[in-house]
Amino acid sequence: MRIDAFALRKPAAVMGLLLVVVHVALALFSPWLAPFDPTELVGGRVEAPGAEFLLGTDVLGRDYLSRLLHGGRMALFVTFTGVVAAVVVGSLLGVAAAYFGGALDDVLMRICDIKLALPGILFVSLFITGFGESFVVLVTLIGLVYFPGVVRIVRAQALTQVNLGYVKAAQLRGESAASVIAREILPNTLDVVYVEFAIRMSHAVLLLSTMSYLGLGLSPPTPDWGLMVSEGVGQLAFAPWLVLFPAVFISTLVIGLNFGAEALANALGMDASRGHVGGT
Amino acid sequence: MNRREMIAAVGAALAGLGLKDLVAPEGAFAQAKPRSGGKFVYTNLYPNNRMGDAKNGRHPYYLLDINTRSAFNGLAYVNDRLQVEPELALSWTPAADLKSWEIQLREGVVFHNGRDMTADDVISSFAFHKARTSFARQIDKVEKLGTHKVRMHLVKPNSEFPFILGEYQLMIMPAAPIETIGLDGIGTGPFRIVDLDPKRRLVMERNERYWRKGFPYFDRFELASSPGRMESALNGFRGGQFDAVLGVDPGLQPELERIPGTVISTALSGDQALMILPKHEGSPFADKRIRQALSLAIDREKVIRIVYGGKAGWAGNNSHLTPSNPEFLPLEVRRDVARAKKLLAEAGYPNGITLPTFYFTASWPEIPRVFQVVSQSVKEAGITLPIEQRPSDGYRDWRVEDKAKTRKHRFAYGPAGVRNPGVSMYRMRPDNNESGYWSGPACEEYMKLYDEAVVEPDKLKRKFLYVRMQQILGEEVPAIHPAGRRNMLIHKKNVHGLENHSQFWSIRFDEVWKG
Amino acid sequence: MSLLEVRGLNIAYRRPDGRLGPAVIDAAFSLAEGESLGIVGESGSGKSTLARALLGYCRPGGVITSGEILLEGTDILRLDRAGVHRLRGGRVAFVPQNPLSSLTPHLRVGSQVAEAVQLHRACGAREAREATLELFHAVNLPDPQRLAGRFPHELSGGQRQRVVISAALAGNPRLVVLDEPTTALDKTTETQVLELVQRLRERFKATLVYVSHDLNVISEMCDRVLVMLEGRVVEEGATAQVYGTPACDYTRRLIAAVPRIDRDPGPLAAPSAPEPLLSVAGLGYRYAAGRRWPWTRRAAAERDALSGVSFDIYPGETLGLVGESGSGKSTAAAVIAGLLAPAEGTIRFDGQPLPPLAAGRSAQTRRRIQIIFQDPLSSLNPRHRIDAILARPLALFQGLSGTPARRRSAELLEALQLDPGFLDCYPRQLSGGQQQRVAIARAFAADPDLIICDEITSALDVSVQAQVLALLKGLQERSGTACLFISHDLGVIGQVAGRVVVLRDGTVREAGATQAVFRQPANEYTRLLVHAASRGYARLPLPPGALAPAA
Repeated sequence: MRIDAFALRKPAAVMGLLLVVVHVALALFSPWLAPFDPTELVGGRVEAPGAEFLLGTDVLGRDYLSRLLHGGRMALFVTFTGVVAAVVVGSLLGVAAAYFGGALDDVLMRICDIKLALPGILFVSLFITGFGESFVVLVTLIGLVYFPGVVRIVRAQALTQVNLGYVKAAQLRGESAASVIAREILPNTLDVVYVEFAIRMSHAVLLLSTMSYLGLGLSPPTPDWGLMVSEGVGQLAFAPWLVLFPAVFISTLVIGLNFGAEALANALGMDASRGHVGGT
Repeated sequence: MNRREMIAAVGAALAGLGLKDLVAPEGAFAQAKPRSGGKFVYTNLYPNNRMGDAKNGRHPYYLLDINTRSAFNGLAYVNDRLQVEPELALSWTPAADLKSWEIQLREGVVFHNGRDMTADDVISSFAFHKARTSFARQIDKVEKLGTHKVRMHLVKPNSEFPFILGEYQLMIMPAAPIETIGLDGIGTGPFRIVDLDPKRRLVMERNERYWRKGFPYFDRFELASSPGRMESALNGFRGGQFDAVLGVDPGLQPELERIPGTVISTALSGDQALMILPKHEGSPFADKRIRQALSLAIDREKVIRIVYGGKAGWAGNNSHLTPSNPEFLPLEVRRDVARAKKLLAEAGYPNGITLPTFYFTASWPEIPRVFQVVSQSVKEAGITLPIEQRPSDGYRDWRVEDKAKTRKHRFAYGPAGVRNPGVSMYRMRPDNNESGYWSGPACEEYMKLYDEAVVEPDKLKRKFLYVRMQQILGEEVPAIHPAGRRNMLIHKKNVHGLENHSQFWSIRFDEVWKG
Repeated sequence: MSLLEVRGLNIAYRRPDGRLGPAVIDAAFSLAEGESLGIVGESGSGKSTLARALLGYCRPGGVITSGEILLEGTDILRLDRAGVHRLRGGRVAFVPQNPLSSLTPHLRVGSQVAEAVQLHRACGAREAREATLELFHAVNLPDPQRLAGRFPHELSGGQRQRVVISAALAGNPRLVVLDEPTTALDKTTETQVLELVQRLRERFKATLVYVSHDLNVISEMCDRVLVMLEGRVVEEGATAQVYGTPACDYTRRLIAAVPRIDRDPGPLAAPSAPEPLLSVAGLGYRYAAGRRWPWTRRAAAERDALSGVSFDIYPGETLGLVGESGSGKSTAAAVIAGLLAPAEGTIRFDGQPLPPLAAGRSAQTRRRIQIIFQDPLSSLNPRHRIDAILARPLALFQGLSGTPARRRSAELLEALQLDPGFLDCYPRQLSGGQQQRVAIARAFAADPDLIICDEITSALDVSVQAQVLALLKGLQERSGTACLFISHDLGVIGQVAGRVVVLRDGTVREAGATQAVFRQPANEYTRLLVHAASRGYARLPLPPGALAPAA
């Protein structure tokens, strides 16, 4: 993998990576940073920001700052696990489809087509209605939502490999299919896989927040920004910060992931709009 | 309105105000006589799953607004204190066995299309209701005794049958074949439907020939439906688009009180949240002590204080009755953590217990808040109560699902509305999911008392029976009713006569006027 | 006064670290009306960059840092956007290497050229259509009327290039810049296009700038020539003079490296045994129609890629397999290597029938037949170090691992005159020639009896090609390995192969001793090939040890 360090030093890239780092750090260390237990009813309902509760309390009298700090933890954990699952499964299927072709490829691609043709939120609400909102279900759902895209992208990348000399050379050496895929093809799709991962992460975070807001995602009393927006929306006219802060946290995370993904793509030389070095 | 009428109206209005009122206008509203005319616009936040389309949107079953009494009337009306009043029926007299009821209809009632309302219309309407509504299935047949007199024959005795005649769907429509009855939206109500924008807006005008002489006051009557869209409804209210908002989130009472020029009207009660306790083998709730401990551990006061702002909620008594019911018996001991711990220890959990996950859905906006507070408050008694929200689509089927017919079902929330005890108390019957398929000697005694009440014509005697039944529920705890809401509506200061109702579909607009 | 005058031109590209790397350094030359100038150089020499600058164009990231380009007295680098727009396709026209990429895929070629005509001649649609047909006629497109209604992908490579040339002529340009216009074409097609350009040049009185790596082509097309090396013009002059008496050492080496069919290849490895190592008889292969499911439509009829191909390779010798694109020569390589299963015919290896696919062959057989591919970069996995690339066949076929494997790898590199330090490099860090030598080392790591070389030098510059061929030859001689050498370049075949098989449309047209076939081709097609390959030799100095000119 060639990393173009120059691309990582652009302001948007630096900002994106910084935002991601801050959010990941928050998610990891929130239990030590938060002054209160985020689910404990410690104060009166909707107290204004003050000395005891720096950002006031929410509609149930829970410390708002603590909930904000914890708000990305579960969402990031769910989306990370789900997207990792989507990317791992999607990459393996995509490479297999490209390598073996034939009926396997056809069937896989049709499954992806069906999934991609289905409106996302419809699929989500059907799935959640059927299976509930537990952690395993949410992870599975995120995985299911995003794996077809990964299959397509990785398959396309792998297709450029299967006819290259080093793959043929490996086949002629008598290497097994698993060995050819693992040693020769998969490593060369990693660039795409990394960028896919970053892009899907930002999509998934937004999706999960939307779902939580609609009551299809994480369940109360989990501290979660999407849920906090939905809990606070009735108070919009009276205590607008209850909606504003979680919205800002969601946006910065999504923006950070987006910028980060773009920076990564640039650094791996995947953006055609950037000039390349060349002679004649 | 021509010029002369206009001058007369303005003059009348000024005369009504008087000099004193002009000097001190605040007092004017309090003492002013009801004023006729004008337009009233309101929006309704209550979810209505049966909103119709252009074809059936005027039918009382599918009317955009569930407050069907703007365009229709029933034979009877149930007021906020759950007393039955005559409406299109003048009186009802049961036979000795309470199995047939003779109903004298009001004379001189005219439908919006100018036709007189007679026994034939009642018979035709109930033929439709019998086919379509569970409440009407107990009516075996309706016999015509005269142009304004019918007799209803019931399948079995019902001492509280008149309540059924006040149910919101059982409106009287002009006689027509069962396929087309009601589709034209013609009723006997105070307002006549002028225009319908399906699922959005309903425009009505005064029914000049309304049988309640002098009513209604408004010339025009409009409503916009905004189920669940609290924020937009409040914005419309603040911007002067709406004179009233029905069904506001009772949890917002402290905030709404701060909006200037707003009057909050709260009903005596409203829906309550019910915790259904499965009692099949292997469920911790098969042990009565754990049910009792959970009920005693719940901080009902805290739920009311935090979720309902202290005023807009009430504490449940583990029965389906509400403070609107005159028979309601408040819980003797609302909370006793020490006793809850003792009961748990006796049941074999001296170090506390982790209950199975409790599922709920946000059928009202405050439901997730109620159970978050419940879950937090029972911690004090050493009870860990994990909770999980479920999507509202298909929630009920999912909750009662019993594919294997093992009566295993989920530890979950169910909504319970406000009804007369004859209906409400029956919901704890052993074969109903809401009772968690309750059984045993106490249950048998409960059902015996219920059977007595159904055939007991005397109201006071019935009340004794219902109190005893509530005591059984309080002791046995087949289900837990932590708290309920008090229905809330807000209106502008110049709106008068708009009374709220625990059965939110029973709000009447006859006597509402604007100053 | 000269038509074009370039003074002190410097062009640089922005590198990933943000600094500028020079691509053209202090270029200066002038071109008189009607003259033709060739720019020759190897990849990376800056010849394309210089040519594109004549249209006021730079690739993304490129910056013209200083200099003047005067066209009829005006500096095109000082023009505003509209001026540059008028210039391109108007007074200066450009013909790129890949015609497909300069044609819009979803528009009919006629309307594309007509659009250019309308733009530059400011005429109506009908007039433009007529002018287009005239242009198509001028570039010798058969049946212009019908062809104008086709889409780019429906044309052959030569036809596409003619369409692009006709579009370039739409604006009656004073100067036509051609950047490697025939590199993507077959030799015989190239001949036709070159002849066309010559004729058009006379007819339209246009001045030409012709960029190519091919000295033959330049010598035929151009009056004057610029030789570029690493961004600098190292030699300039009349073509005959530069080729005849090169002043610069680099030019001399460049000329010497050109593989020519009239050059004596020196001693070639002879068969070391009477029995053939590989014997191919009646070989046939068909590309299957694209149909996987019973209900899907057949995309195309089956097409014969090979039919009735027979030849033998004896131990130690090199057999040349020559043909143009589509002749089936690479298919033959894939079938013998075991990548494709033949439809008919037999292959015997060392007297035994050879199972069709590599997976069915024994490990020993797989070891004994090795293949080297055309593109050196794509035949080496970019994720593996050279060490790992060589270790794999050593482990599989020789049972070597650890230090012995590394020692053997180092020996192989040294045999190919590569620094053993490269073992810790990734393929990308090596030049094209070095990469191809690593690919050769990988093939020889298996200690094969037969190697198949599929166009292994066609992606390389001529000087590198000469070096790689020499190394391969040396290695082959030392190891006694037989070789099936596939190329489209008769010059290269002449350098390495004692015997040659000429393939066209999947059938053998001629076979025999290389020199005999090249000097006296029996087949009409072979004659065409030989003619195309020896074009332009007239202006090149006679190579050392030249053979008598072909009859």
